[in-house]
Amino acid sequence: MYSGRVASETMNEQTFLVLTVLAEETLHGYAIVRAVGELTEDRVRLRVGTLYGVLDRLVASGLVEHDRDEVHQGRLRRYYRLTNEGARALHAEIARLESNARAAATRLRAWGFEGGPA
Amino acid sequence: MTVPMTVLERRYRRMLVVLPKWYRAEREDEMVAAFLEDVDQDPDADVRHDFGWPGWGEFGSVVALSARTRWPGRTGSPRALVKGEVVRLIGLIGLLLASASALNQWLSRIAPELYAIHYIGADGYMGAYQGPIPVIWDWRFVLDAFLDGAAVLALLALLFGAWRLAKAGAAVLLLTLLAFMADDLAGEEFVLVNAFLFHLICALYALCVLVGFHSDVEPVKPKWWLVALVGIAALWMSLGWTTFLMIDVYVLVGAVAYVIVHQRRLWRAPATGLLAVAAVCALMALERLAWMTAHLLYGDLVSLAFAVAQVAVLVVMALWLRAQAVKVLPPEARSPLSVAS
Repeated sequence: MYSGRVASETMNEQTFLVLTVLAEETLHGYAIVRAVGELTEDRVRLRVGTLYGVLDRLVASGLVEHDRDEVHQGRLRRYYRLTNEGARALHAEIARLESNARAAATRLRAWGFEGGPA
Repeated sequence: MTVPMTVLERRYRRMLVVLPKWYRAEREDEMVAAFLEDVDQDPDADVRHDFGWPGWGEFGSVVALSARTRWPGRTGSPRALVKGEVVRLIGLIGLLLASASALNQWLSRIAPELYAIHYIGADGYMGAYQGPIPVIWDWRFVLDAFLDGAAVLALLALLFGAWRLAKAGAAVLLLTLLAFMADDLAGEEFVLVNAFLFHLICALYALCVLVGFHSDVEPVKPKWWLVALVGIAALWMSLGWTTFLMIDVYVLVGAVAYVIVHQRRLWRAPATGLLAVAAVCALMALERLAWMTAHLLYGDLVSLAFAVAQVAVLVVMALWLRAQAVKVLPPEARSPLSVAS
């Protein structure tokens, strides 16, 4: 009935965006929320509960790791950094998305559509 | 320097109580910091700090995080993964039972001749078939039909890997069952107390589906043979309700068969399966217990003796299965997260 095996790694958009913003620099929780918002022009707004669900999965699978703790204005800031494995996973996902995008663009051209986004 | 706690911070920390204790010990302070820093960017930050509430969106994300950490699919300690698996299995067994019950209802209307030998009435007593079951179009009947449809939909959705649809079906199930339970409590008849317990147990199954299946769990790959197998099992069980062999008997026969297989060391079931079946046995015993008091009230000693035997065997089975599972459970880790390492 239910197989119960561990989920195969399929990267959703939130995971992809968190890895992307961590590729630039080490960031703490709120900085990740802000960076993802800026990157997507506020199209994706991570809730704190959602962010930590994503971070738990990334830390558990070794794609992200704890960097350091700082106290800023009396509040804990825990920084995270991308690991080499995380960089490889992000690179693989970029390649997959590029391949999909190329295939879509080729088929659109073959269909006769040459215009860009409205 | 410590920043004084605002009303908003106190409310957010109170909201985080839904998370497991070990998770809060690891994450609470940084989650609070991330949330408050976000609020600080708001032009109305002062008002929000003094009077604000974190909001339903934040609450929903924390509840979802709580379900993922308590009953994980891949992130967590081996013991936590077992807990997640057990909850999902209980939910699946519950949906299978509910689907069998739904098939039973539908069959009784489509092919009433199947019920010619024995028929178990709404009062729980078996007797000769008395003719077509009258259709009563009151709200309970309509909700009952809704309940059946939602159970079958949720089970099929899970078997086809569509867990979001399955959760929607389970949510409909839960809401419908809550309506039934409210009505049961308003009733004065003893049978309605039993109905309340039955609906409560069904609601627990639906809740298991709701909290157990999430994005952290691998979706089931659709297999036609699996759907067919589950369909046949549900059909078999639904037909069983038309005879003397009620569902408890199947559970008991299966459990006793497993005891023999286990003692002869032919096969050992995984801890997840043992714990899930133990929980289902315990829930069935609870339901039977309520009927036992009904038999006692009506002075039906034969049925009472049968019910006592059922409850006793179900409880013994539940305890034995649990004891076997505990022997092979992985050890409890201090914290399934290793963030601070």
